[in-house]
Amino acid sequence: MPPNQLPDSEILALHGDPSTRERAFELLVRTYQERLYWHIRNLVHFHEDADDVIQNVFVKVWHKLDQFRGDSQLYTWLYRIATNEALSHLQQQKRRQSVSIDHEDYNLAEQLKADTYFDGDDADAYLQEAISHLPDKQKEVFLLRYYEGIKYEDMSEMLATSVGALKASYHHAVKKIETFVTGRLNQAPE
Amino acid sequence: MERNRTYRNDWDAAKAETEQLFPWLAKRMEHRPFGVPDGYFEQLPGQIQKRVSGIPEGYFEDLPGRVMHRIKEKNYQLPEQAPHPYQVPKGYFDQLPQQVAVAKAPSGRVVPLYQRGWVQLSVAAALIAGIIATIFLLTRPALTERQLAKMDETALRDYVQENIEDYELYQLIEYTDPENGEYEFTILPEMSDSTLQDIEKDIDVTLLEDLWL
Repeated sequence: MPPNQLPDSEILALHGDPSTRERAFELLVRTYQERLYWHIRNLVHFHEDADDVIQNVFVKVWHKLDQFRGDSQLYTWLYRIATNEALSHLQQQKRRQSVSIDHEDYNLAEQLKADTYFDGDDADAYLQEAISHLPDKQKEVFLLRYYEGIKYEDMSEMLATSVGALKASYHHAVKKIETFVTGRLNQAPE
Repeated sequence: MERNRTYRNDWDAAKAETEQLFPWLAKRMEHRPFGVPDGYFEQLPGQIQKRVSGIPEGYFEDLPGRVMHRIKEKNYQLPEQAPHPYQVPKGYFDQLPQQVAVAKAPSGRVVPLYQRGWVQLSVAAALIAGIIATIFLLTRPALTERQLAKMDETALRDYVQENIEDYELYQLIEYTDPENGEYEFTILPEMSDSTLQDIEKDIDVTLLEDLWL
C-alpha cells in the first residue's frame, strides 16, 4: 500500500456510509490508481489507451463496489476488473483496426519508439513486442511476476491457478521472450 | 514525464528466478521505459470523480421510463406547426398516399423462373449449389487423422495457438521441478480413465511439447 493511504477495511467502512461514500471512492482511487495504471499500461502499451481503460475501470468499480463481498483482497478484485477491461480494449482495438494480430504486433516496436511516453531503446521495444505475443493468461503471469514481483502464492489466489502451473507458465513465457528478442536483436542492423 | 513505480513484494526472488532463465531479461528489470504526463496521477482522481458524480447507479437503465412518465405527468402536447414559406399544390397531401401506392406497385409482368433469361437461371443455380455446399459442410464428418496429417505444421501451430490455452495444457501436466523447467506430461490423477483414454488417443504429446515448450 502506498504511504499515507488508508487500509482496505477503512475504505470499505467509509463506503458503507452514504454520507462518506464519495470520499471513500476518492481514497480508493488514490490508493490503487498507480498500481492499476501500470498493470494496464503493461498490457495496452500506450498512455492514451491506459488512460481510457483506467477511467472505465474506476467507473465500473464505482457502480460495483457494493457487490464486493470481501472474499478476496480488494486489489485482487480491482485487478480482475482492470485486466478484463484492458484485454477487451485490446480486442476492440483489433476489431476496429481490422488487421491481423501478426501485422499489428509487427508494428508495435516501431509504434512504441515513436511514442512520446516511451523512453526505451530498441531492446525495450522488442521486449514489449515479445510480451504482446504471449497468450493472455501467460502474459498475465509474466507481468505480475516480472513487473510487480508478486509472490506465486498470492498470484495463485489472484488467478485461481496452482503455484506449480504459475511457475511453469513464467518459465515458458521467459523462454518465448528469449527466443523472440534474441531473433529480433540478431536481425537488427549493427 | 513521470516514471513507472512498481510494487514488488517478492522482488529479489523474481529477479533471481529471471536471472537463471534469461540473464538479459533480469538486467532490464531495473529499466522501465514507460512514462506518463507530469501531474497525471494528481489529476486522475478528479477526472474519474467527474465521470461518476451526478450519475446515479442504474440511471441509464430506467431513463426511458422516466422520460415517458415526465411526458404523461406534464401532459405535453406537440407544438402548433410553425409557419414556413413553402407551398404545395392544392390537395397534394390528400392524393399522396394513392400516388405512393401506385409507385410501389410492380410495373412489369410476372415471369416464371423457367422462362427467365440465362442470367437469372445462373443466379438460381448458384444459389442452389451454395445451399447444397452449406448442408454438406454442416453435416460432414470431422477431419480424419489422414486429413490432419496432410495439414502443414504452421496451420497446426496456428490452431493450437488460437484454440488451446496454456492453462488447459497445464490441467493435463504435472511439473516435477517447475523452477528448473522440468515437467512430465503426466495426466492429473483426478481425471477418469475414460477421459485419460480419450486424451491419450487424441493428443500427440510430442507435438504439443514441440509446439508449446
